Amino acid sequence: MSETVQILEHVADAVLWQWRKQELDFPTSAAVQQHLQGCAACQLRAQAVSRLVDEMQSSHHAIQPTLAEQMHLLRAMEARFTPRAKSPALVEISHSLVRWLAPAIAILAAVFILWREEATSTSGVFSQTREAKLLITADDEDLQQTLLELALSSEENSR
Amino acid sequence: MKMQEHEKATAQLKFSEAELLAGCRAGKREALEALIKQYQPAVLRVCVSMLGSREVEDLVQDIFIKVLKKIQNFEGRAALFTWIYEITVNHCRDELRKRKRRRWFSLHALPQETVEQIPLEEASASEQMEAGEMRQHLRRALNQLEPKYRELVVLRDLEGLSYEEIAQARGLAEKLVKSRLYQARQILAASMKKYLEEVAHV
Repeated sequence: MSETVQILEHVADAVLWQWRKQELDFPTSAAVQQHLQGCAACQLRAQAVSRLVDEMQSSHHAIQPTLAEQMHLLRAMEARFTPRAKSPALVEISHSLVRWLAPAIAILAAVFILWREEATSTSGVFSQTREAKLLITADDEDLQQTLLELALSSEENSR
Repeated sequence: MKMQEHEKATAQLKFSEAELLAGCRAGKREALEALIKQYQPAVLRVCVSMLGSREVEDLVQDIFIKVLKKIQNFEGRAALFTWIYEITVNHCRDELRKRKRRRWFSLHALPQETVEQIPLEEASASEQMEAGEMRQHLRRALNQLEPKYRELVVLRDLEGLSYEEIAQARGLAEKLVKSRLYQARQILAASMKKYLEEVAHV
């Protein structure tokens, strides 16, 4: 049977802490236990230390990364440490096609718009000719005037 | 607590330590994800407790970058989690040193009265609201501990590492870890004394 040491003075807080965490060897732990049974002051301090240890642990373990923090960290590590997968040849070709095709289409579209504008402006000029005026005359008087001008001009042309 | 968590996480992710190491060395996405899932909570907790602030996202990222850079040379003399704790605590201590230096330079530009009014570690208003009174007392007491004491309290009392694992992670003799932790607890209890007495009489 092992002998237990008797503790006559009050037990230090750090020893109560060790006792609470079961870090003491058996004789010391038994001595602290025995002392606590007869010392109300140390008993109260032991309870307080115990509460302190529990509270420390629970508040510490309440700290958890948020989902956003987890995702952010994972993305950062992936970007840095995961080797980039090589894209297949077809994807490479389509990438270069897109790279050339987009400006080519833009240029073609610009040319088409310019050509259209030119065509519109030609029809505008065309609408100014006497022959075209025949089609857009408002009344008979206008029509007669235009026909007369047309006849005169064709006569002049034939001379 | 720490070991249970470690085992639980390993079981959930179905990655052995060797597989995790091999996967991370090869830059496999699943392995990186497993490593982060398994160790980010502990790294974050240690950073928050060491620095006394929740604003440690960049620091956690730097620690993982360091871990993944060094993982190629990890020889496995210590367990992976002990090694990660070692890197984390070292990084936190470097950060504390940097902050102290920055603080010293910024404080020397201020008049003395202003300096005295600044608290040691400032918690945000929302943090103060959320944390209970005892937690605030605890945080303050922990922040006032010297880093060499604080890291031991964090590793032993908060993370639950054994004396042997702490000695390995910190490169100290087990006896020194024990005696420093004894002093740290004594200081912590003394700074909480008034509060503890109130609690004891409730």
